Amino acid sequence: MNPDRWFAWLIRLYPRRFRRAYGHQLRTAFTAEGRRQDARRRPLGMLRLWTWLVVDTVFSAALAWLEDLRRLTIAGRRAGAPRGVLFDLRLAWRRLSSAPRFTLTAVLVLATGLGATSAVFTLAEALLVRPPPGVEHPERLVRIARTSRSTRSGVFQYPDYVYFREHATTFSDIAGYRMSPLVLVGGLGTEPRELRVMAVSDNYFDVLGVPMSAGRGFARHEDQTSGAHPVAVLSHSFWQQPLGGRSGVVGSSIRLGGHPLTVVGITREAFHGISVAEQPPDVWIPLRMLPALTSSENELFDRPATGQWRWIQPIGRLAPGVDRSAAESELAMLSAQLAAAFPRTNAGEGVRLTPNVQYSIGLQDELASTTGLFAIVAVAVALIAVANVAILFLARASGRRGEVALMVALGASRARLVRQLLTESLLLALAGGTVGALAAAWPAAILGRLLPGELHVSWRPDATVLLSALGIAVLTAVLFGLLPAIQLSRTAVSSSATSSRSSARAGSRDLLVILQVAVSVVLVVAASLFGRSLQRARAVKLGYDTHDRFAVSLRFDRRTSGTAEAQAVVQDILSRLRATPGVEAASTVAVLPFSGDWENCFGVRVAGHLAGQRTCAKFNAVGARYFAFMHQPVLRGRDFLERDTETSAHVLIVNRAAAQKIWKADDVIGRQILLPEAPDPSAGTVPWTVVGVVEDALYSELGGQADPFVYLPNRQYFLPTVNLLVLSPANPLELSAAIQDQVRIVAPGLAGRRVRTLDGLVAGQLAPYRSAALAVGLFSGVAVVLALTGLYGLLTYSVTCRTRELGIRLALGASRHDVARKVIGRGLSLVGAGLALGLGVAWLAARWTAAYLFQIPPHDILAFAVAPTILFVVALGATLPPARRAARVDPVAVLQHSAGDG
Amino acid sequence: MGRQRSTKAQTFIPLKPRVFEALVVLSSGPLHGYGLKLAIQARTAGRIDLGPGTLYRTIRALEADGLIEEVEPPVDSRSDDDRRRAYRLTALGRAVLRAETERLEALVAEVRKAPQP
Repeated sequence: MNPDRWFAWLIRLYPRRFRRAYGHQLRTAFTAEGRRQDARRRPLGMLRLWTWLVVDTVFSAALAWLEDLRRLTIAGRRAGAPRGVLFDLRLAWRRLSSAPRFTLTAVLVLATGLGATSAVFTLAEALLVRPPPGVEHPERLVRIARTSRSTRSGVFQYPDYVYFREHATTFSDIAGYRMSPLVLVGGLGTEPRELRVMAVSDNYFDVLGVPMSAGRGFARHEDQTSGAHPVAVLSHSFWQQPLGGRSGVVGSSIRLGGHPLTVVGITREAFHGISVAEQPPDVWIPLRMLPALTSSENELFDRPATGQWRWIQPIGRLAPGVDRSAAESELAMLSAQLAAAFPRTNAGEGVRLTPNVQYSIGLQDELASTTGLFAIVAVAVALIAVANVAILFLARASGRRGEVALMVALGASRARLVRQLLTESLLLALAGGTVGALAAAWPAAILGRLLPGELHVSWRPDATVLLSALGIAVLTAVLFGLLPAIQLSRTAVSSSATSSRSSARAGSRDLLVILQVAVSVVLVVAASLFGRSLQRARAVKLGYDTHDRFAVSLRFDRRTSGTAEAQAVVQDILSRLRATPGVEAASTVAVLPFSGDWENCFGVRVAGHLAGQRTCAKFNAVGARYFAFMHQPVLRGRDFLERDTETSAHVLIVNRAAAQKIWKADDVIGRQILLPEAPDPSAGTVPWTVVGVVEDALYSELGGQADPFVYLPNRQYFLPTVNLLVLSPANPLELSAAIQDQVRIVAPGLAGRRVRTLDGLVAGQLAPYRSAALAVGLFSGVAVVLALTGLYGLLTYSVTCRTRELGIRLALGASRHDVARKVIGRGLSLVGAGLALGLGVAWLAARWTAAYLFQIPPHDILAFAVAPTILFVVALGATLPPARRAARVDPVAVLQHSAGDG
Repeated sequence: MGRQRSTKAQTFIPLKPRVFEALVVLSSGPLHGYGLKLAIQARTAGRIDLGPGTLYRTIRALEADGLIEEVEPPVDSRSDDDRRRAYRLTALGRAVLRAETERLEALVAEVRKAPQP
């Protein structure tokens, strides 16, 4: 490279002012030095010379910058320029309030963008960061989840939990609890009511570090023998609310599902249980009280010879100085030992530790990924908002050149100008950020409702969220304020080369519009993908009708379950319900669609086959005329009838998939199977005869194939939970009261739980798809509006700037159509560029959405075609008003005006 | 006026060696920037060799402080390059040089007076 060019490059390191004063002389000096060394023709000398020159330049350039800065500050002070931040703020406030339309638009746009991010922050903080309240050192707690190919809940068999608890050295202790709380009717000298009961290990409160406000927690010996120690701990809120906080509760007796238990303690007020996915528990009982209070067997605590019971959720407190990964490796080792010892049940299982103890591992992953999706979308909206305000600022900057020139004439330095302009943007960003953050609780609650699961979380943004919103607002201010500030101060300080700079500014405005359109295209594509996915999920044929169907569950305790008395109660309630005005039909079902645990299946054996030849089928116990009630078509044979009772022959109905899987045939009426896991021992040996084949139906999940199903009449196969089903077009609330009344009349001790609609259960399955579609749809709508506001603003502004030129064109004979077409053309070319860019990005990014989509390919052509069409049409709408404005320019007035100027 | 200047000159004392040398060199007549560098180098026998950056930073500081000023370049160098500028000492620059010289003289005298090791 030519040394002169090197010099020229090096000289660029100096401040512009320095270069202007000494640049030429510096170059001469460089050349002279070079020549001097050249004359000596010493290669090493040349190298030394160059090093010396570079070091000298870098150092002196840095010092020159520092000197410049000091000089500027001193000069500013000498010129009497006020220095205070307050002055800057006052001036900024005066400027902004003198342009209320600009200010209001900018604040609103920023509030939208920053509100979106604050809302998602609030959501993420509340769900993923905030520890459960009332727990000591929550950062040392971990949830221990079982991992296998198909698990979503991550619960363990009890013996596995005990093995971990006894052998793990990396934990101070490991507690366990039954994942799903029991709902039992009970009271303590009060009206019986539904109570949420958590079964927990003896060390549960110690591991969590929850002190009692009265009494004590559970003792080790109280969780050793099944049913031997009927003790209970009450929640503070239960003690306060129905019991009125009265004294003497500890030591008294509480009835749960007919069993008396002694209250030994009351938890601290701050503690509401650790799960936000459920309502806080009212009562805690030792695990070993489970068999007595429910119909579950003692087998809960053993390793059964056949089948498996996974139900316990361990939570560990890490030993001091141990980190999560060390604990995870130890548990992985213990888990491998278990897998080696019990390959039938434990092979292929692993362990995962998560710091968030509030959710099951499945829900946790789902929440994290959904929140992540929301975050990406919110950041995109925020970026569009920032770009939008930057456009507003740039447009306004052009109108302020005169004002800034005056400031310069009065002695304001460039640094001073930038500072002043940045103060204005900071003020705007803070206003927008504050409005956004304060209003964040509202969109956060909406988004929270869109999340899977029923979450009991406060969506009020906390200090961390508000602080980060503030930080983002400041960052935003710099983002949208710095570029216009620098450009404006530059043009004001040196008025030379104005035209090239103003065209550069126009270029950056165009670029900002293109970027906004591109980002909104990506969002609209995502929204239409999710919309199509939701549509698909909604259109899934379940195989039965859920419309106008309600369910209310009754839970019998172990002693009454399956008895003639319980059967009579159910029949009595059913006949009363059928007689209730507005009720068209009624039936029963043991397990409702999309509720409860459908992971397990039962091994059914064709009569005459060997014991080892079992087929895995899901099963349900249903009432008379269940299939007629649900409109689930009976393909062959018949529905269950009133005559299928305890005393009649054992019958069953299979679905088409089960008929195919078990017998590889369609017509299987009259065939027989054995049910080894039936609760009644005799049921295991008595063959059950197929009396009907029904159409396949989806009960456990929306996607995929229908599972093979075996349906049994619930008068022959009684389960402790019975869901009463009612078909009625009545208002659910009124009907709910009527059903509860009937239940209370027939069985006063057997409180019916809240009434659920079957539509609601299906909606629960749609929730993930709905949340993605609604949230992204919402955000993309906002994004499109913002982007088009930006486009509209830019076009209107450029028409205003070019009024004179347009007037001259019109005067020279251009038609109004031409002028309007030109404006529309400019707008659409920007939109076109944005569309192309956005579609490209969306195409590349689409595969990341696959996890959220239901039976829709990520590159769904329709979604990709719909988005640009919508955007193009709407964008055309945004270009029309500025185009009309351009066409209406009066050439005579413009020419007179410019003549007056001249 | 003269007193004022000498009071003001005191505020620049002591001078950095390269500044002192620059003032000394310029006291015998105007020089352009690179000429100043060469003269200083010659006067100090290569002990002070200013790089171009340091040279013009020094010149800028001296100009800003009013110790030197730009003059029309000497006729002989004009043909070489019109834009090459020359600098000469201002009255303040002279006063500062004098004050610094006096300070150094006093210092030397003091050292001379002290008992020799």
